Amino acid sequence: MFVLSSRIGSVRIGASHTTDGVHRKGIHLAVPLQDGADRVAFGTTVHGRIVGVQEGERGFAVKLALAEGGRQEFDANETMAIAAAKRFGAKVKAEATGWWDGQATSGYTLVSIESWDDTDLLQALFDVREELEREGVEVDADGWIAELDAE
Amino acid sequence: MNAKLVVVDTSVLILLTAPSQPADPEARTLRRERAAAAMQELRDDGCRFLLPAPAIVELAVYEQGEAIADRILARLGGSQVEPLELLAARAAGLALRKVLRERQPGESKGQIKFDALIAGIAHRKEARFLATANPRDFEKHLRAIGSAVEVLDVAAPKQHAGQLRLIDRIPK
Repeated sequence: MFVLSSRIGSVRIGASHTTDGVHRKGIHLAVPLQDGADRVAFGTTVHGRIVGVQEGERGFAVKLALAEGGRQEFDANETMAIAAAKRFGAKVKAEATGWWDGQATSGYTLVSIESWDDTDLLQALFDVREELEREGVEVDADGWIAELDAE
Repeated sequence: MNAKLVVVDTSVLILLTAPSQPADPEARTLRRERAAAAMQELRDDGCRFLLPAPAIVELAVYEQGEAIADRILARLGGSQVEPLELLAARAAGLALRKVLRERQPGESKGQIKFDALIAGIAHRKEARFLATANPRDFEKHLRAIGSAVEVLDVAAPKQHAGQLRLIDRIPK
């Protein structure tokens, strides 16, 4: 059996262009799919823009253009797919689970999805400094950074 | 490699948020100005900043952090805080295994762990830079796992020839 995108099926091996011209029946190979016993489930958070929502034979799939670059497809239930469709083209923060088999990750599935407005981190940090300065808060930055090196 | 992704270390958060004071030594002011300029250059270049969750832990755990950590968290809003997920944790563990083996007597073990967690996240996210004002052991950790992430000391004078920042030209 194989899983390719949202399709699932068996592998068939047959002969073509035989020298005697006789058609021979193909052989279907069907080894069990992995049952997950040798995989580890993990959770992750992703940020990006929804660029695709699709319904296939195995259910729904949601595609994100990730904020850090690249695209990632996630399996989704109907609730997640509807939530994604409502936010099509918009920036979202999503939580997902996936599998890791020791070599590669697979089977990413959406767990939650919400709209996301990318804050300017640098401006936020400058705003904090201004606020602290207005309040007269004193912080020994060098001492603190040096403290990071201590036990 | 995500050429526009920058993971931000705790020291950068401290340096950029700690209020300036009239009695600040010149070196501190200069480091802060360099860090702000370097981060602004990265932002202007279209880079995205990502906060690793262990940096938030590190910020909150120290005595002085109380005044700053909550305010930063309150303003983060939509900023990307990256959790320590499985593959990042594994990368951090592999780095730690090698770095702790080579640790010098008396060298802080606790701090090495925070660095490894942050380095593990940067590696997992395939960031271009790990921005820090305190390079510490980041290079060792990243080298231990064969990572392509570059450590960028934002508080250090700019190294590229012909691109000296204005703040480094001001006679003090």
